[in-house]
This record gives sequence, structure tokens and C-alpha cells, in this order.
Amino acid sequence: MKRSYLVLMVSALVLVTTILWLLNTEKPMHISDFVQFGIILVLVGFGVFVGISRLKSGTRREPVEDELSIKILRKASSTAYYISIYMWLGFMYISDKIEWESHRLIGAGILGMAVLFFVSWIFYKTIGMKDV
Amino acid sequence: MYNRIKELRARFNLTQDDLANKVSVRRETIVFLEKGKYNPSLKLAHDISVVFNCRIEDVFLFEENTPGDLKS
Repeated sequence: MKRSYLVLMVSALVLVTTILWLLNTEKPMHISDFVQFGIILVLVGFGVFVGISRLKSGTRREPVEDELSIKILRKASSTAYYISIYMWLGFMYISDKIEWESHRLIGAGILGMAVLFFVSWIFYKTIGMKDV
Repeated sequence: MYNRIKELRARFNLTQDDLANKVSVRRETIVFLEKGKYNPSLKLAHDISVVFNCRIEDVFLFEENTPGDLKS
């Protein structure tokens, strides 16, 4: 239960911080900023979905986590980490070619890792964990 | 791997929720097992076979063993 509330709190914190950043930024907004905001919204939605489904499991008196959900979580994490190594390598390669500040590049990398985890989680939720 | 969970659950008149509660997993795990999308741990396979009062190999079968080969 505590972890469910923690997931919801972190999601709310990310959303509030992003909205504050959008409202207080003095630089003109580019299309990439809106894309970034859209991705953050999707990830926050994912966090809220996970938090609510954990709370529902608690109220149904079934375990919040079991061997399948833990295996999916671990497999999705390891897959996202594995792919993200190549993503960072790609970022290192393009960092000389594009004029992004380092903090922006790191932000995009962290967001990319979150997206990779989200996609891997959906993937393993769909195909299951047979022969893994 | 093939399993007879759905068939045995119907025979014992258990819902997916009932079985999930008896073996302490989420209902989703039972859904995945019945669809053949998940190969359970030895402990879960044992717990399920205990609920159905039969041996693990009577519930879970490898591809070469067809359902017709089963003991009733």
C-alpha cells in the first residue's frame, strides 16, 4: 500500500514540476518542448495507472506483487537498460553534430530510458513470460 | 508447456479469483497461465497441483505429452 501511494506521489510531483517549468520558462517554446511534455504526460499516466492498479489489488485482498509481476518488472528493467546503452552511445555520437546543451541531452536520455522501460513493460505484459 | 488449469478449475467449480486467492497470486497470473503465456515457478506449480489434489505432471505437461495421454 505504501509503495502504491509513493508511485502516485512521485507521478504527481513530476507533473507539478513539469507544469511549473512550462509556466516559468522564459525561453520561447519549441515543438521539441511540447513533444517532451507529451512524453512526460504519458509516463505520468503510466505511473498513475500502476499506482491505481496496485491500490485496487490491495482492496481486492490479492497480493500487490506476485512472481509474474516481479518477473515482468525485472525483465522490462533489464531490457530497457540493455537498449539504453545503445541509445546513450547514439547520443554521444550525435552530441557533436547538434547544438544541445549538456543538461538538455541528459534530460532527453533520462526521458528516453523511461520510455524504453514503459515500452518494454507493455511488451512483456502483452506477450507474457513464456520460456524466459 | 501445456496446462489443464482451466479444465480442472471448471471441474472443481473454482473461479480465477478463487484459485488466485488459494495460491496467493494475482488473478492476472492465473489468466496468463491459462492462456499459456507464462511458465510458473516450481512452487506455484506445486501449490496449484495441491489445490487440485493431483500431481504437478497431471496439471502441467510438456508439448510431447498430449492431453489424451493423461491419467484421469
